[in-house]
Amino acid sequence: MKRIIAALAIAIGVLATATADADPGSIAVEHAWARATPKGAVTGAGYVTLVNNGTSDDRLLGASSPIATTIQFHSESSENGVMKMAQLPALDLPPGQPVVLKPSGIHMMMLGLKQQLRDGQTFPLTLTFEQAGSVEVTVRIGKVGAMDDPGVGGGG
Amino acid sequence: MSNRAKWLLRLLVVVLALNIGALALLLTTRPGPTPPSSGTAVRTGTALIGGTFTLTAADGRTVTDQTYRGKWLMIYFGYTFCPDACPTALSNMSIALQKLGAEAGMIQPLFITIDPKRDTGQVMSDYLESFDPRIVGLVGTQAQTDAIVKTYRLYVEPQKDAGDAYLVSHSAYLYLMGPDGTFVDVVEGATPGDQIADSMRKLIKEHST
Repeated sequence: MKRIIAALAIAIGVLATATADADPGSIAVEHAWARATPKGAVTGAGYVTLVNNGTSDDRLLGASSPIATTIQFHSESSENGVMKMAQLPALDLPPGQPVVLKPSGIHMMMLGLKQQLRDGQTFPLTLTFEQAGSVEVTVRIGKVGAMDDPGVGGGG
Repeated sequence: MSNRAKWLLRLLVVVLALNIGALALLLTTRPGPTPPSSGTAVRTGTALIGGTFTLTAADGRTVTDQTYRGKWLMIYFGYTFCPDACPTALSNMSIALQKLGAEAGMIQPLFITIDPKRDTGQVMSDYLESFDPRIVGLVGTQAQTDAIVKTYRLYVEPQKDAGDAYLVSHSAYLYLMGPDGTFVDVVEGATPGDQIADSMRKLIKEHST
């Protein structure tokens, strides 16, 4: 129950920040989570699900957080067993089509980590959209090799 | 049909006939797959992957392909700057080792860096604290790294024009080597740990009979 209340509180918080800016609530930011980082790691990976509830196209232009120098969007593909990553300048968010960032797929690469990301902790993340403006969310940190949002089903 | 077209058609027929002939010749002269005889594993064309290498463990000791003879090797080639794919693979390896229980004792898991410029022994051992303690991190000089990349037929391509923050496209397989050091199989690094454990168990069983 506590977890549900916490999740609701976060969701309301997200919506509140989203509406505070431009285009009210057109982008829903869900499942903002990251993996804990191994000792000494200078990079980390973060994931989020974005749903454009509006009627017109939007784009995710950037992300920033006090815990990293830079955050980039990367696609990841495995062709014939070769893992390739490519930086994406922005993510297109057509209306009604959820864009899911996840391990082994599109992810946020956090460079120049200022602290080790530890399982169970959180950090703030600001996402900047072309239409919806800036949205600040709280990112939950899961285990080092976690494949899912630690806030869902308590798994990992 | 013009003369030119007829001529082309004839040429085509001749070329086709030659091709069929060549194919027939290939099929009849190439030795077919040898039926497995008891006790000896039959491997075709797999000896090309793997071989000798010399690297250094985090504690400074030299490690070669001979060091772990008699044990299965589960090798992941990656680098610590890698934010997503490498932690996934190492985490899957860790889960597989736990699932394997006592059988994991027959396996030496290795994490070999393909990025020796940034991955020192210390960086590797710090990084590996987050994974199963049985995974040994190995680094080489650039020349030693180039050599193992070649021996294991790895694809390694560092990103250009990214300064110190370069990514490296790389083969993301776990390489499974038999106790005699020969190549047995690969598993994709993104394979869930319990499936890796199942594959490993099956391979060990197949090779011990």
